[in-house]
Amino acid sequence: MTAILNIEDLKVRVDGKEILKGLTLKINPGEVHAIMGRNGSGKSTLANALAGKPGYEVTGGKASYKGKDLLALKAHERAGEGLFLGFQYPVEIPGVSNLNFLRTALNAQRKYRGEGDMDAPTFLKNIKEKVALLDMDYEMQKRAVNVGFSGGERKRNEMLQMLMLQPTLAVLDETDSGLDIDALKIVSQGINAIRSPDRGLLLITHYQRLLRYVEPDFVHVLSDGKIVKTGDKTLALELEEKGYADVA
Amino acid sequence: MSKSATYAKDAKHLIPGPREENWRYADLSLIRGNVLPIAKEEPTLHKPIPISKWPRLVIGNGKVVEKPETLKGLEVTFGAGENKKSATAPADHPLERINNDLATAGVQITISKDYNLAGLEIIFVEDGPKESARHLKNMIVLEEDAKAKILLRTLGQRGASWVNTVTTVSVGKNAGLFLVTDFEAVQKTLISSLIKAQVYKGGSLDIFSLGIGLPSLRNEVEVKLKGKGARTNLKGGLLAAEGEVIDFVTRIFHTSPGANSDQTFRAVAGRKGKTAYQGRVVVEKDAQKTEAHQSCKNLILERTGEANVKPELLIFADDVICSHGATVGELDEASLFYMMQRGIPKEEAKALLVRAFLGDIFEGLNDQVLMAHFEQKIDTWMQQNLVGKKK
Amino acid sequence: MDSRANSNKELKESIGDYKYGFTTDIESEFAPKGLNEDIVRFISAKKKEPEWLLEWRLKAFAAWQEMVEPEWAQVKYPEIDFQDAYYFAAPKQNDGPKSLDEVDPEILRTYEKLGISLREQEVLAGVKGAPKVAVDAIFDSVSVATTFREELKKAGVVFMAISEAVHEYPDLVKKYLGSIVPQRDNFYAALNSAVFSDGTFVYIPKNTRCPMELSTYFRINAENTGQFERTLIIAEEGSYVSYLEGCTAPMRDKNQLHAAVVELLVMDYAEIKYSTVQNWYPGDKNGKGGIYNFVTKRGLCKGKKSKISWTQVETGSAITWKYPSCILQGDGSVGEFYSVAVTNNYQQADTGTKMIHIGKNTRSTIISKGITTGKGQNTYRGLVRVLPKAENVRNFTQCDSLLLTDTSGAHTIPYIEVKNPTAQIEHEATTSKISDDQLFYCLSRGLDEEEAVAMIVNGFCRDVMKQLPMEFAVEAQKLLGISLEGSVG
Repeated sequence: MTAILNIEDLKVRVDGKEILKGLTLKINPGEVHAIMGRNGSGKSTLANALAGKPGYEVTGGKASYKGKDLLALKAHERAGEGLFLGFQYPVEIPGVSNLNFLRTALNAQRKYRGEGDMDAPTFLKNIKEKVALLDMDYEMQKRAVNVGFSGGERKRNEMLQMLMLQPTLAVLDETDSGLDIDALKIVSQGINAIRSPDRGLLLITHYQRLLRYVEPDFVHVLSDGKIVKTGDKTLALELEEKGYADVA
Repeated sequence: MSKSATYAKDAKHLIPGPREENWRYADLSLIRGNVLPIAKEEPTLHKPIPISKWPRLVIGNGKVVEKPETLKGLEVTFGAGENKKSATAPADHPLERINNDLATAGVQITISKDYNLAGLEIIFVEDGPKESARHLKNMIVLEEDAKAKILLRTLGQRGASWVNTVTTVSVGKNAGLFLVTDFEAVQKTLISSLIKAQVYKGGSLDIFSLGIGLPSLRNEVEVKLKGKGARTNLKGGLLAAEGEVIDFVTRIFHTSPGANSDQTFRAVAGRKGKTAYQGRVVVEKDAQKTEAHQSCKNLILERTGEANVKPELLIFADDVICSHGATVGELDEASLFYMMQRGIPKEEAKALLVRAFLGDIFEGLNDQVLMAHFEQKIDTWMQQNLVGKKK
Repeated sequence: MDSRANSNKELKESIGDYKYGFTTDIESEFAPKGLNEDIVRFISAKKKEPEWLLEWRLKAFAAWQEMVEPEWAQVKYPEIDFQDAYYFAAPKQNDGPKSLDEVDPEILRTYEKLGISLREQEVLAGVKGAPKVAVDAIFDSVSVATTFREELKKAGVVFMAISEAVHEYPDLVKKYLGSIVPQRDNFYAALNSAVFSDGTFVYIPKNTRCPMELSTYFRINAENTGQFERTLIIAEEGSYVSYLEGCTAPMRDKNQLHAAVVELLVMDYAEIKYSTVQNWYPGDKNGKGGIYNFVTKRGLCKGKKSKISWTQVETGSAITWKYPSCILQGDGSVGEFYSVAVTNNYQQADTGTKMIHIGKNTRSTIISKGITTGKGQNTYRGLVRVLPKAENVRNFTQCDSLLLTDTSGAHTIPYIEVKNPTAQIEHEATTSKISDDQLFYCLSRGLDEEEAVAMIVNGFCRDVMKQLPMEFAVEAQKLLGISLEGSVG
């Protein structure tokens, strides 16, 4: 069985400073991994480096995705391969409606995979379903991407995009931050809806509260650019009780 | 003295140089020191393809080529018009002066009181041998309570030539004109267009212009708001690719109280492209309760692109609300990455962002046909200047 | 030309053959009226200047003669007869008033309102024997007092009249004079270069933080004198100086010309903060008299991460023509311009800045607040230019104008010229009158209209005022109130 993601000794530099200092992680189909760690431990750097954000310079190590060299792919190609990054701070894009954006993105990915465009009725039917699942307002999809959206609305919007794009691997960067309990439950529903035996999930989080609703198979503790401890879901609870200092 | 002799003599000193304040960004290199002769009539004319399904007036190489059998509610005459003779006082605008002397063609339209002209497409097309000039003089008059939507197109299909248009516009009491200007030109062609408008009490004038795919465009609009409640709304897009200079100049004079003006311009400079917007708003002493806003945003897509902005406010009344805003920048990196992360290739993401950037100028255009025409122009431009060119 | 020829003739008649005339008459307090090469020589001789400086002046004079007055500014004034003025005036020793009782009470009233101490008032009013405060005071053309020099000397800081510096630090002056504002830069800079009378020279050595704020008061005293100071400030690597400039002038019926040149040079990691409170005589209610203030101020941020911050509060002068600018050459250098300009009665101001971005990662901020009342005309004119190699430039510009009367004018003329895509430029401008709601709110809380306007105007200017050093800010705030007097009917 080919792993979805196989990272070996990954080193990443940002603004001339080494943030990831040899990170190793393997995600097999069907697995849900959670990466926890303090602020500044390198969690978001991992997410951005995987997605190919400019300015995140890989200085060592390897990362393969479904057997391909992930690092050789451009950002949009990684997306086309089914890698989805749920942003910690999704940007506003004035003048581009959510519907237009999502449809363009979906069809670009389909094109990358050699599939034809999704026809408009199917697309609309799909999006309305997902909007309902996430308890969102469809009208908001006619507005510009994230413009005037609250923090919670943006996170839900990320989930909507994820459900529409049906990625093979979803990397969710602090998707739970800034959400009240009701929103957290809804977002968790979205995440659970995408869980399947052929997909992988990487949850990046500071707190374990999301993990109450989305149970991980593995929990990793990231500290100073390396994974220093790995365990099952009980590790998250332990971290919450004792804090990072005692556990890691 | 013959016309062309006067022209040759005057043009030498009339063509403004880059040191002249109002012309510091314009590219008049085609006509500087190289006085182009007036275009003679040519036998060949490639008939232009109309954009709209509206009635059409087509003037090709200075001659009336097509006109509707009847036009209800309109009075139309052709030629350089009588207003040419009335322009006895020398204009202080150099290209207008040349136009006054040399205009040989044009159209004068009067839309009678209360009439509603749903649409009219006027096409000036210049075709034939290279290196000549055409000066066109037009007049559009809306009588009281008249309404009109006019598409004014200038097509310079003649290489290395100059099309110099002066259009005077008068919008009567409570009348409303929506004027859309469209330009097309082949290599080295210079288009200079000057619209001089007056808007009377309660009247409104909307002008939409897009300068795209043109070697050199000087697009000037001057509006005098002469009565209470008069308003004008100018919107435009400037897109300059390699070697192109798109130079927009607006002057709005608020001469009486309670008038409004609003300007929205968006400029995009590609590699070696140059855009310039100089917008002046003058609020005269008696023009209290004026509201005047200007917005000009600029995008520079690539190195060697150039954006110039000069938004002036000259205000001589106190009870006013005036503002202008200008920004210059490149495409937002974070937005680009966000789009790419969702699977959209970089060049396509750029094009989407540029289109979004231009979105504001299309607000209020409310015409599917025109919208499609301009969007297609923009798409073609981006195809040539963004998508085609990989880094 | 005629008047120039006339005054030449007059000069020759009054002093005979000029060379002898000048050497024998060198003790005189005034140079003869008018301007020609001989006057330039006279000024230079009077100051016992070295030959190179005389040559430099003569070169500038020759350039000036070929130049024409700029006409692009939004100001109107009758043609200036450059021959109908004195270009050099040294104060007579017994010229000043013996005590404050002899000083024009109008001036004292202004000083009082400014909150300037009696001692300072004495200095400003030119009372004989007044104690010297920490200022370099320039009365008309000659710097008469530089205090705290010893303490500064200990720190290695040079703060002296430029006429002295010519003798004491000839190499520095020779090297940098005119290096940032060339003689031919503009009409008034050329004039200044030919006839500059005195000014201030400041040199801050490497890694030195100037121990005190340096302050210079300019004052135009004599009638019909043009004042042409020349300021040169050099901040070496890693140094810092805050320089304050205050300007006052007594009331005269006739317009007086003031054409200064200020040059700043900032090396790596150094900073100059230059603050001006300009309160030249603005002319009377009918627009009679007042100073014509044509000033060229420019700083070169030569070093990396160097910084120049201009702050100005312009309330005086009949005409202000002034654009303190920054050439941001060093990578990461920073230019700032904070300005409040008030025009009342018939005052006209055309002021702003130029930010020329040459280096990478250079930043500039422009905050301009124009207030205009009476029949005043107030123009912001600015340029932000980004050259092709200037990567990652940032500029933010905010220009706001407040109109208090319908007889005044407020104008905003910014130029933005960008040739590098990585620049981020933001420009915002607004023009409006004082909101009736704000005014009423203040009135209903017990302020009278004048107080209310002053308060709102001060609020409007806050972003600029807070840039001034504390003592200066208080002064400037009061000055605003005075300038607006009589502006509400």
